[in-house]
Amino acid sequence: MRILVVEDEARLADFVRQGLVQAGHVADVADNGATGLELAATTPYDVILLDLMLPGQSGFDVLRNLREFGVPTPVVLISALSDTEHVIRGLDAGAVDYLRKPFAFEELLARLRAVQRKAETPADGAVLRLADLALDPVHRRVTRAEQPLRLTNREFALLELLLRNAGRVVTKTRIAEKVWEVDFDMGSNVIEVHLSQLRRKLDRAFPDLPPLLETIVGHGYLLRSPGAAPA
Amino acid sequence: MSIRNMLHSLRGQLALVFGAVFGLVTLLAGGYQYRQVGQVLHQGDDQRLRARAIALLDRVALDPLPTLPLPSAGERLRVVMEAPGQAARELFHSPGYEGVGTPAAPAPGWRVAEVRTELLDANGQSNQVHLWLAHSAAPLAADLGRVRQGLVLALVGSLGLAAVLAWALGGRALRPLRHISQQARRVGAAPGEERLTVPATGDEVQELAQTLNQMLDRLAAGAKLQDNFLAAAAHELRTPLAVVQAGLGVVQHAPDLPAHLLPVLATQLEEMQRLGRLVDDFLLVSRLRADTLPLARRPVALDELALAAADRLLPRFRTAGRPLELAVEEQATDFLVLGDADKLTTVLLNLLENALRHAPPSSAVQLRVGREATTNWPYAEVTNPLRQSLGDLGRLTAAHYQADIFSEGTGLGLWLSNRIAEMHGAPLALREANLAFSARLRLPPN
Repeated sequence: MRILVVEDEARLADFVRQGLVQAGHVADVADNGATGLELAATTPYDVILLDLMLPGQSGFDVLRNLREFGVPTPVVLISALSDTEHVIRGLDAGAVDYLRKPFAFEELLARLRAVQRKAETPADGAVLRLADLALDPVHRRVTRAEQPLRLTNREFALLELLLRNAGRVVTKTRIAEKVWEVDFDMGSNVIEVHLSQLRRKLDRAFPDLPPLLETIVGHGYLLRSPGAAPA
Repeated sequence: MSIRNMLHSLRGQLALVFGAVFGLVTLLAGGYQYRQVGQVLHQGDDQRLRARAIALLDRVALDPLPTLPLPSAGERLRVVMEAPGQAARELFHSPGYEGVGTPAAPAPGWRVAEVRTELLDANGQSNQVHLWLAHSAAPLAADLGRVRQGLVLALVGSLGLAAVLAWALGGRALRPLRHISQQARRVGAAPGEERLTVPATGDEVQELAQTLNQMLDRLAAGAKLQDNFLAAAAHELRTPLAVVQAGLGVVQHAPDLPAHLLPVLATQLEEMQRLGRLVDDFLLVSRLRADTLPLARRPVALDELALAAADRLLPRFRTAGRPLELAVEEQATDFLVLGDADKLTTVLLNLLENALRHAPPSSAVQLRVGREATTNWPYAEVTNPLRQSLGDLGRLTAAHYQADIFSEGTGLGLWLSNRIAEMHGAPLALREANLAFSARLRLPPN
């Protein structure tokens, strides 16, 4: 990915740039809002990491100007301001994510991967469907029988994985790798509990509809249309 | 309100002062009136006694023989005749007359009058006749007693009436003060936009309300200043932490990093993360102590918050070799509460970190989300086994108390979590049984 880092703290910007390059990305740094705006308007970046407290114009101003100039690049805000009101304001202003300082560099990379996944999802015909269930990865909307479901990020990722493998058994190991991005035993029943939560929203909330999510004991989990045989 | 408090209250003291002044004035006026009435009664009694004595004297005759009237019942009479050149001769005295005293010095219980006249005897000689008449002073004393009783009753009645009136008037006069007091009680240590209503009375009450509002302005300005300072401090502290943490994260993934440095870097990263959480905790504590921590309440799903918190700490549980077992009660349809998601997450992270610190190696920590059977309140409960009993659990929520001085931590976590829980409606419910400690965050349902 080509990433623009707008950060006035030179040492932090340098570490972030170095880490991004190390992770296989291309990164540019702007140390103020005006330079950032100029670079963003003239270079096709995949994502912009934007600090909120910048000299001159704030990150909010830069974000507003970007959108006014018609630059649609996804923006991830980075800030030492951790109050919920700042997060809400940032997301409402059009940012796709908000990362609070200090952050683990792994977390930054994970969030960038999430932005990339979202960007790579084709805008047309991207809605995943199974029976009366529909998941729109672009707009992050899920409906069952035309009723919207409110899922957490983990539940959304779980459902997306199961939907993309509809009719096939998905093992716990695969879920751990794809959703939690770990390739080892997590030492917890976290997957079972999240799937139970998903089942509550997906199936138990619709007692009149046939269940879609099945547990295949000893193997994994399966999402399939009622009556369809597993692949 | 007890009698003691009532007497010490401003209203009670007003009633007391008003009653005392009114009572004193009534007492002085009553005393003066009593003296005047006493004098009138004495004069009337004197006149009646003297008139009776004159009437009796008129009936005294010496010619041809001394003739004397007899006193009525209750009267005592003495008649003495003095002829020129002869010693005075007592013509009559009632039995017991000796005890009545003289007009100038009557004996107690008696009143005496003296009258005299000149009468001619059978020889045509003029004689001086003296007549002393005494009667009991009891009727006069009884009259005076009744007057006194009336005055005392009037005094007591006046005092009572004065106190009641003063109490009522005091209450009426102090009503704006009570209103101000009620309003002021609702204002927290860090007032926002709320101000006291200023009554347009043009008196001290109006002045007091204005003064209090000026004080609230100053407090609000101070709170805002402190809030700004804390925000700036947060920024100043988090930025260098972010620099170091990002630097360590980058170095950790450098391809040419010698393998023996990896564990060192991992430890440093973990410490940096702990430092970051500490900064958050200290800032939170400062705002809690200053009562300037705002709660952004909105409907949040407690089960989702708990699972997200568990997700964040899973790597640390795994590294520490302590399994984290999660359970969400399946019967409940939802766990919606009205709360500040960030602050509740802080509480859940603190409870989980606390359990991680205190659970013996290899023992499992449990996070359970459910609804209480009796209250139907959603709860999140973290349970961990203990190496040894914690003793008095009440101390755990005291600031800077550490159950295990050899474990990590500042001793702020449970205090801070408890304060946030209290702000949401109920303190943490702490329990220890069979060497297992559990801390429950209970929240009223949305």
